[in-house]
Amino acid sequence: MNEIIALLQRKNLVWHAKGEKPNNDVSPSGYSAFDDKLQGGLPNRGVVEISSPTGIGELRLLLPNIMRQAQERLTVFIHPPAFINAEHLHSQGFNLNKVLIVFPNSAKEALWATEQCLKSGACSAVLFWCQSLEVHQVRRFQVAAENGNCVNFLLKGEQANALSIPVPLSIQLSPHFCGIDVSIPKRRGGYPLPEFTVDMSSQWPSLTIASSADNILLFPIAKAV
Amino acid sequence: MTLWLYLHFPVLQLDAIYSDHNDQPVIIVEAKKNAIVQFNKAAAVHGINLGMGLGTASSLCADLHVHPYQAEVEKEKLLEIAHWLYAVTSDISFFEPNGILLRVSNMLTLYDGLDNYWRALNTHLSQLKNHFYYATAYSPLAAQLLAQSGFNQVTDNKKVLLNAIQQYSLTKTTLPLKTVEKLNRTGVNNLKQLLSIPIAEIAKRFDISLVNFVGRLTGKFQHPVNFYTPPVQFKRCLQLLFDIENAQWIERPLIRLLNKLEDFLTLRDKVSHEIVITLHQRDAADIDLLISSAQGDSTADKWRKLSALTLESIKIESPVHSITLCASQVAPRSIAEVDLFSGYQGNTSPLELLSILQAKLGKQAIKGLTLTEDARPELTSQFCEPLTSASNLSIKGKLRPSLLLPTPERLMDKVSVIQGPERIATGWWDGRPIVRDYFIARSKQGRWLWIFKNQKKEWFLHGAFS
Repeated sequence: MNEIIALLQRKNLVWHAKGEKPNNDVSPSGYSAFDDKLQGGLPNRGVVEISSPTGIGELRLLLPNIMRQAQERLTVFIHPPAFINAEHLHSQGFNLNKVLIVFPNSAKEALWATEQCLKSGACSAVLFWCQSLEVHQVRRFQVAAENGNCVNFLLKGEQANALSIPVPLSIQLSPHFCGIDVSIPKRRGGYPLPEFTVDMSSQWPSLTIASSADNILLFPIAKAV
Repeated sequence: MTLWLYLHFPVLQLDAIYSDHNDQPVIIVEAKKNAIVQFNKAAAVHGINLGMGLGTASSLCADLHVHPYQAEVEKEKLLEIAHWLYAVTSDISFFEPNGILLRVSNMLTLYDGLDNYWRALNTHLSQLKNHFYYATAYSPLAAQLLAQSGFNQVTDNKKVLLNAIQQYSLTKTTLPLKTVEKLNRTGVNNLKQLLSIPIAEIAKRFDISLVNFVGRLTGKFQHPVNFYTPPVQFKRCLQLLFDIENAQWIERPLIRLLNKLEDFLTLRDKVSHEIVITLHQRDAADIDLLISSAQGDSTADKWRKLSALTLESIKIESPVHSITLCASQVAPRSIAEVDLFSGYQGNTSPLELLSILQAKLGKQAIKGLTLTEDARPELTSQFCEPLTSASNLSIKGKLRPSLLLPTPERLMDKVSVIQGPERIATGWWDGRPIVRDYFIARSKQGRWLWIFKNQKKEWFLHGAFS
């Protein structure tokens, strides 16, 4: 019995409530506040669920980490809500030759493509914009991602997901004036974390507003419609 | 010494396009040289000959059928012949564009002598109705030389063969013209004279290629040849004792076929990526079921699971009386390199992954990204063939959204402008000019948007700083 526990401990599958040990299978996200809370950063492999409205800075939060981890492996965007802008990726330092964009014809194909990319070992990160996933699908992604040494970001809309899915890390994002508000309802080897703010004002000065929000100008709506 | 048989097909393309109208003069012209390379009997009657130009030929005969020479056609035909010959002889090698070399020696035990072997081969080959010349010799090069000049004898008599070879002048050989001239100047005009010189002497006076030629011609040197192995294909048919009317019941007899497939693949240590199950119906057209597995499987159990999924969804119109299983895509088993400590890791290469994705989703579903120098935002970032993006532009310093809408949409949200304007006025040269003032704005929901105002003061949403 002791042997099994020792084995599980070695594989980092048992969590002790006292004394959080820093996880060594993570890499920094590029945002210090975020890294501190996550004991080092985002995981290098496995599924990460991200619930966020589109356009509040969710990709800006993830891309520095993805770029650093890529190391000549592929980054795959599956079923993005709009076209991915090459200019943005380029300015972030991505090698465009190592970027694939997949526009699947159906939800089934999207799931299949995601699993193939994850288990191939040729990709370092797979970003999949999905609606809702079932438990067994997420389990398959998790196994595939571990086989392929790949991290899978599941980007979901902000709809309250009634069903909890078995992911090692779940992140909820909401907009904030000077960056992004993050709460972590679920993570492996740690307590859930209440909402905290990731300040992006040094990385994205143009896309933050100083906390005293008095310089906001109200803008007229288009009258033509 | 090994005995070789060379088959030379002088009019291979002509044979390939052979039609019923035998009396029609047909010629095949090599466009680059403007020379006739093949012609049929009807054309020969009109006095057409090899090497003639197209103009001369058409002046000799008005209703000439002219075809361009296509090397691929001959190559394909050659493959077909080799495949056909594989039933009677084992070691087959290609001499493109129109020759096949057979190693005879190790077939003689089976056929009990050269005569029997040649009889079996000739009967088998003549069923294809190709014109061919043939010759045996104790080296591939000699056999080729004899066959190409229409020696048409099958013999293992060394004296006869040597005599035959010695007759040829050097110009008939594959030697480069320069070497032939050099030899002529020294008084060597035919092979007899060349072969009488000891190899050591040749090596002293001429270059290594001539030494190789002589060595290979006499069979003293090894002539490297690659032997043809026919593609592996599995095809078995199973007649059913009773007609089956329910698609679900097909699984049982199918397992028998799949077990045979497993044996076949295991013996060869291969996997199959695709199998086709054909259900032959009694009163309706055959149903073809294509079942594919990206990583390739060999076990019957895996294929049974995969085919069960497909069988669930089909409907049989009429009773099925037999099943055919065909595995055409057979590939070597890819060895999964397992690290002792980190366990199994995927080891597909990016290109393999790409081909797997493209095979299933279609080519249009997978895109790569590339940058162009165009200043119009929708043209700066463009899709390209995946993994081929070669842009080495460096556009730095401009703040651009990560998500771009395929086409700009009317702005519907209430937003507050944070930064801007940035005027982009360009594209006047190709009829799609834009004059836009771009702003960075934040919507009430906290979304960072990239919006623009056109000249008519209409507002559009173009992207999001996701």
